[in-house]
Amino acid sequence: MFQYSIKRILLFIPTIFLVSCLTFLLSKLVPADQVAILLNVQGIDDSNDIWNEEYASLHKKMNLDLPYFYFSIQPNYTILTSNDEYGILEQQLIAKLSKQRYREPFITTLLNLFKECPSSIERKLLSSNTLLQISTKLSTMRNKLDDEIIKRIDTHIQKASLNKIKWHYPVFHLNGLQNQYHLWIKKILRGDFGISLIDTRPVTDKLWDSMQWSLVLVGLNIFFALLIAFPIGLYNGVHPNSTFDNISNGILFAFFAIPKFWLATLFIIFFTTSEFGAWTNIFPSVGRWYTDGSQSFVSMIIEKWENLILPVLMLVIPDTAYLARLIRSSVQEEYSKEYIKTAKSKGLSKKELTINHILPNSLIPTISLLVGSLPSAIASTLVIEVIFNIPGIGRLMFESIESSDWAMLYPIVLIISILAVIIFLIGDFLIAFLNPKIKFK
Amino acid sequence: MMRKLSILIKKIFPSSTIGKIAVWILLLWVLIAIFSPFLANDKPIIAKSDQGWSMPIFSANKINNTESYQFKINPLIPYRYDNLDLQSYLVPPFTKGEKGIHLLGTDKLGRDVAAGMINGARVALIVATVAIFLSAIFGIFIGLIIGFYGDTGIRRNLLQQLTIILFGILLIYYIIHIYMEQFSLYNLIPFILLLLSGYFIDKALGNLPFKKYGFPIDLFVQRLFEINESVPNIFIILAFVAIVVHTNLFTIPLILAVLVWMTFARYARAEVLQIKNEDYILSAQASGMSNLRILIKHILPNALPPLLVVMAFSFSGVILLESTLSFLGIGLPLEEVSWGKILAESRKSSKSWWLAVFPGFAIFLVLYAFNILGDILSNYQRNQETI
Repeated sequence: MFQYSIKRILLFIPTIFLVSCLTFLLSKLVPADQVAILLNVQGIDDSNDIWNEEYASLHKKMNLDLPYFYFSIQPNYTILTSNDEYGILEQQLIAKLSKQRYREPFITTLLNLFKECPSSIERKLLSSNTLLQISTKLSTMRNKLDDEIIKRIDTHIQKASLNKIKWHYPVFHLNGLQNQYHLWIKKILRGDFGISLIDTRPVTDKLWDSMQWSLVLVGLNIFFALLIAFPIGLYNGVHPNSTFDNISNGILFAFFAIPKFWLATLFIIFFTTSEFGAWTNIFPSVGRWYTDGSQSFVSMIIEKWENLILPVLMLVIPDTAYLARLIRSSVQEEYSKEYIKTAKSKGLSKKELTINHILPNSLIPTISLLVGSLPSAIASTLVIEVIFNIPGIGRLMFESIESSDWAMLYPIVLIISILAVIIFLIGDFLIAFLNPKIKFK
Repeated sequence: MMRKLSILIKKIFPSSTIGKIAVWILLLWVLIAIFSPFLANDKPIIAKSDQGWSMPIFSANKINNTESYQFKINPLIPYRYDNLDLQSYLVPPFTKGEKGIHLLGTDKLGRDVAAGMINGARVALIVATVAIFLSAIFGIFIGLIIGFYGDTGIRRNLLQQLTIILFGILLIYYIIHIYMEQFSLYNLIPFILLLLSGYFIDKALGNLPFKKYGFPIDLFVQRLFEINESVPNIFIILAFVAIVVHTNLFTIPLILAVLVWMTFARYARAEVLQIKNEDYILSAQASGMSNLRILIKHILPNALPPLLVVMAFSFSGVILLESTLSFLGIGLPLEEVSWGKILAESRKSSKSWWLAVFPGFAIFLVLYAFNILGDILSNYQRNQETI
């Protein structure tokens, strides 16, 4: 057991490393310009004069000019540029053109030719994606530019298209500690997750605010689900194949298969208005939880607790179905064991047997399974939070995807993943600790 | 193997009524999905005009004057899923519309819900089948290998391990280029050359008299499983979908398969670990059969039937994930109509109950059928083991 724990904890480190690498990779694959978004939030757009300088300085401040990882494997046609030699637009054009396999001397002469144009035209030319785009742009500017320079650029472009790099191979670079991943993870370990791209609030604040809601939901969900599922599961396990068992099993199985979002929409449509009859207005309609911030979290919940009934119910119904079936099978398994036979022959009544022996023993696997499934419980609140407007962690994630708030999304993913892995580990330990008969390698 | 499967199906299904119902539901779903363009379309299936008989349903261009036909057979529902009936939007079921009765009503844009449901069946079938097919093939392959070889099965000396890592990186580099770019020999030729030369270099280095160590593939893949098991799928899927700009009917199952293959791999691995120690495998090894032959001829056929249970449950899992994504409005392209999307429409107009009841019921039925199927299969297998 001790050896097993040590091994699990040691293997936990590479798992976390893998999680952080994958999250970082995903955040880098996002098809959006984070610097531009942040500048837009600050009220600077690309028609502004200071755009270029601001862009460059923010780009550098966010370490976006550094390589991604401790090492990089790049195609040999990649051209590495630095901030000292080129401006930000030039660097972007070099990156684009080098990806299209144009050779380095060609690109540098092209940039030099651009420098001979007036600066406004140069900027326009630099912000194009392909050579074709450049030549079409040139043809529209015939009256603003010298004929001679247009001709020179055109012939240069024509030459280049014939002389592309064809064979390519990966080149290995060691980047040292000055890389984006290292600085990112260092910042995160210090507790600094950056700021949201939408309202520039710190990510940690927003995360904590929403985490409270999700925890309340999950807590209420588990409490009520256990409260309902235990008696049903216990009764069905002790009286297998009784009428109640058969009926409730069928119903529970159906409830288990009902998608939560369907159940929730049905309840909202039919049971929050008196549209369909006088008695159907049972629950309050979907609440609004957003306040100006002066109200504390607890007082808000106390004031509007009715609005939580429906979301919690929606979570409890499917989970009760799942739990009751689980408890039933574990009780049944317990019931067929030898020591129950002994207890029976000793003359214990069925009631005593159930309460004193079966209940505690079947409780153990259920509870440890519950701990392990805590992350998926948080996940299952996502849709419910979205439907009922509850500002929990799932809603936060959903909103950050909808509004392209990448600086918010990936910290959430990272934190949830790490928490999930830790909780899962604890659940595993709990099972091993409570049931020493389980063998581990 | 096919004979085994058919015997299995015959043995399991006549035994229970609820199982039969589940199979019928699924069959109906698949049939509706396959014939969806013929069931709901704005063009007639067969028509006779002055030019003679034709099948307008196969023509790509829009047909305006349907009156010119002397005789025509219309599809069951005279609307396509993306037809906008601007006169009758948000009408309840059985209301007469532009071309015919809206059997299940319309949504805010005047799209026929019944046609949308039929298209939703198609979307669900395509997404689920592609995702499960890809992940089953990849997952079972990986599961077989890590289950059979484990951490110690592939023994290589340090030089070999280095070459494997080096060639692995190079191969992955070219695979990415082959995937990302148009087909070109400049990517394919180095890839094939590397594959061949890597194989021969590995063989040659294996003859050197160095100490050999196990290659820890199992340990590595187990870390992935650990993440997959603990981190909820929906979070990972959302993180993935967020970076894909242009989604279509085939990128969504691809993203789903990124996760689902691990379920298959996990169960396949467990099966292989059990089968590996059976006597017949040991005797096959003793008789000098090659590892590859043992894997394909003996382990694979015996590991597959138990994975049917995993398949049934993953089908329901994938369909649930897809409809959740559609419901959230993330994933499928705007013009595609699926069950989850119709259901999401009901949130915008809360009095139109038909937008919520029917698509949700369809999702529920399919999930329920798959869960029952999985339950019956796993019960059947458990009983088989005890006998």
